Amino acid sequence: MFDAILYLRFHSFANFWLAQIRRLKQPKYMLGAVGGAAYLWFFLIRRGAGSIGGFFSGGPMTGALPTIAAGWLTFYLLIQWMAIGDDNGIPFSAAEVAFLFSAPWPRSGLIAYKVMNSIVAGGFSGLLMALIFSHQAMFSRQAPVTALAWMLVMAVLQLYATFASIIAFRLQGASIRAARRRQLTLGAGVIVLIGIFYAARHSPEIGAAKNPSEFIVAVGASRPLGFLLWPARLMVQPFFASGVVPVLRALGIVALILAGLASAIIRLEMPFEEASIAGSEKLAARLQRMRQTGTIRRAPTSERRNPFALDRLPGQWIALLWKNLLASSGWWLGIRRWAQVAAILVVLSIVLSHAMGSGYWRVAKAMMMFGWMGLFAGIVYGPMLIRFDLRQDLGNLDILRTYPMPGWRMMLGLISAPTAIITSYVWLSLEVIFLAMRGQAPSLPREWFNPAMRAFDLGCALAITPLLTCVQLFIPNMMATLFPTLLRPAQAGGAVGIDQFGQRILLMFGQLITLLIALAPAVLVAWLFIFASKWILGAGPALILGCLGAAVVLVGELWLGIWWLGTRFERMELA
Amino acid sequence: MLTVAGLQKRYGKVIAVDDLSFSVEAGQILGLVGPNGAGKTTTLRCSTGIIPPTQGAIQIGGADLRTNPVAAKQQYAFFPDEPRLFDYLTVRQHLAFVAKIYGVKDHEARGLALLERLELTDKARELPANLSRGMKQKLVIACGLMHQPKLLIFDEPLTGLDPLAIRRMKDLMLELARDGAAIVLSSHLLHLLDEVCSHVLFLKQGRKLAHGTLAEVKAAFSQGESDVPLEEIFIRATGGAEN
Repeated sequence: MFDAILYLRFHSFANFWLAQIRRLKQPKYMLGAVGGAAYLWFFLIRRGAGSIGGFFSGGPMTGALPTIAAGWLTFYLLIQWMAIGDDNGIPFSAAEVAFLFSAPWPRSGLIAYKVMNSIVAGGFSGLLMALIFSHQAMFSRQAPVTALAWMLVMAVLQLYATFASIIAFRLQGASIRAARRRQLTLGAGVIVLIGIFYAARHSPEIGAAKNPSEFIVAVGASRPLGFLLWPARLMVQPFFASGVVPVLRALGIVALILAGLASAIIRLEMPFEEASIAGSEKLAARLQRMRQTGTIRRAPTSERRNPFALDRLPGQWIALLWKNLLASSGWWLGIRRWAQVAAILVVLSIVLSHAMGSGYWRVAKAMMMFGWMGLFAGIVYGPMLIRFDLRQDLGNLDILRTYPMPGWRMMLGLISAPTAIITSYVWLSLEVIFLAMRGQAPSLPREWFNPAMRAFDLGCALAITPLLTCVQLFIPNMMATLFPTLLRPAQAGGAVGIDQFGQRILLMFGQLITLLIALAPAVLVAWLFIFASKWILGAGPALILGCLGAAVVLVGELWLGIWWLGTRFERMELA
Repeated sequence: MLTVAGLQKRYGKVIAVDDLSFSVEAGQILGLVGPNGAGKTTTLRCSTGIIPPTQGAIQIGGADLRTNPVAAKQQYAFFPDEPRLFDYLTVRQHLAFVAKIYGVKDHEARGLALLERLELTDKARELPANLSRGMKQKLVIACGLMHQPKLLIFDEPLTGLDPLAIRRMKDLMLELARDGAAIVLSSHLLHLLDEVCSHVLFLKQGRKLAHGTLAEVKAAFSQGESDVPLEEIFIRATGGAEN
């Protein structure tokens, strides 16, 4: 039995890497591999070899870190009991069910197979974690201990997940289903928290703590939390032990925990087959959906409200805007709700400024900060997060291609939904910033932000936002048109590997450069218009003129870009 | 209605379809038959403009698919083998969306009639996740019929349907052809093609083996025997080999 498992694992592993290496013959993958390796070297490994350390650097550490690590691990272990659903059993893939369930192996053999898989998977993820979080130690003489510690801990976590899944399945057999189990876990958590607070109030050590670090250490040592954290402390001990004997002892204890868990799982020998088959079928259906649609999202099951009346607006492309706004109803506020939020912000600002008088600037400062954060997040991260455009419809390309509309109109319709969503959030952020300016006058340049100018500032910012957003969205949609496979999630059939990672890094740099190239002429035109007309017309009209100039440039660029993207879309090779 | 002339499609060095010419007129049902990998789906996808051909000309209702794709696409409906729907649109929203795309004026009345005809009325507000495969297939058909296309292209339309649904699908195709639609149908179910097709086109390794009316093709390979089923004709035509 084990020779078959080893054969399967070895050849799967070897074939995966052979395929990865073979595709480096293609320049696009080789370039990606070089880019990915360069990124890892310069941003992770080289940095790690220098003076900047990571978490768990392999040396002895004092202070609150061991307690924080043990606390986090305990939380993770407890949350497993909340995360596991019903009918989980032991997860097997469809291929494993097809080939291994009919194999002449005892049930314990199949469980041992899963245990072995979990340990190997945990080992690999541990190695990765060591490189990411302990890169300093990984390039020192502490590397073997650090790597081994991470591998053992991650293997224990993998096995623990399997163990919890089995116990949950057994509890289900005793009529304690997921909902009840979650209630019990939550209840236990609340009781523990109450205990901690009670102990904290009566502990002289906690009361005597001079700084946050001492406070955390004292809380971690108090009862009952000290008992609760004890297993996790054993688990994280290898990261903080110093000296050969303590390190070996700490590693030995984690290895014993691993062996104990593996033995317990194999001995439980529960009848898992039925649940595993059902689970594998569900998983296979989900994977099939991912491969067909290119998305890892689950299909919704309840109807959503129409974003607007489709019949009232002309144009074919409006149908695509409507469809994608409907798909994004979690993000799209809708015109009425957006107006309500905007009105509430105005009312809140007026009430606060009246109530606080000259002290309003304190609130305004915070408002200003949140406004800028929102603006930055909307402009920079919005196009990455709000993907209700071609990126979402990659799985439906053949359907879209049958629609009787030119490519540019298709692209316009697809890009318009995320543009509308991001613009709506950026407008709210702008509103917050301008409302905050009422209390910010001294810190802003008066020529451009005096009360009379603010209406011009706001108007121009509002007008330029959708164009700026659309330019930002143009780039990921261009990537979707030119390199559709790059945007597919790995679970949905997308490729994985350092070459793919490198391709993404290179594309990100490309995106940044393209954005700068697109914005440069608009900024230049705006600046020229403002500079030339300010002395004649005054700051306000000059700003409007500059904004108009920039808008004309951006509209021109977008028109050209969408037209070009449309022609690429029409010629796109779906095969 | 559909004229394909000298179609060739290459994927790198592989020629999936080579020098393929055929036409389908109004009222005809053409069955596209071939072993796995013969190029059926590629032919259908090229014929609908979903993928660009490497060479060749395709005309739909007189409109050239390369030079006037919008006019060409306005005239056909393509039904892929898997019923692929938009997750967030309900049944009626799918119809409204398609109506907007194709500029269908009386879409509400037409949509209702289609739902009625395809027995989907009580599912009008359901999302695709709540529909069975057969119902999804019906919805795809309703969407395709919304703009009253003159050419209907089906790629393996009966995959996963139950016997009753297969029967209804056959009836629907025959009815549409009687009403003057041209139909192209790719399927491995040769008894189905035997029942519904007026014409057949055999493909092997991307090349045309035989093309004509059902009777003509049968006569060419029946070796003088009468009532030879299409399945036997296909085996004789392809030499019984998969490729």
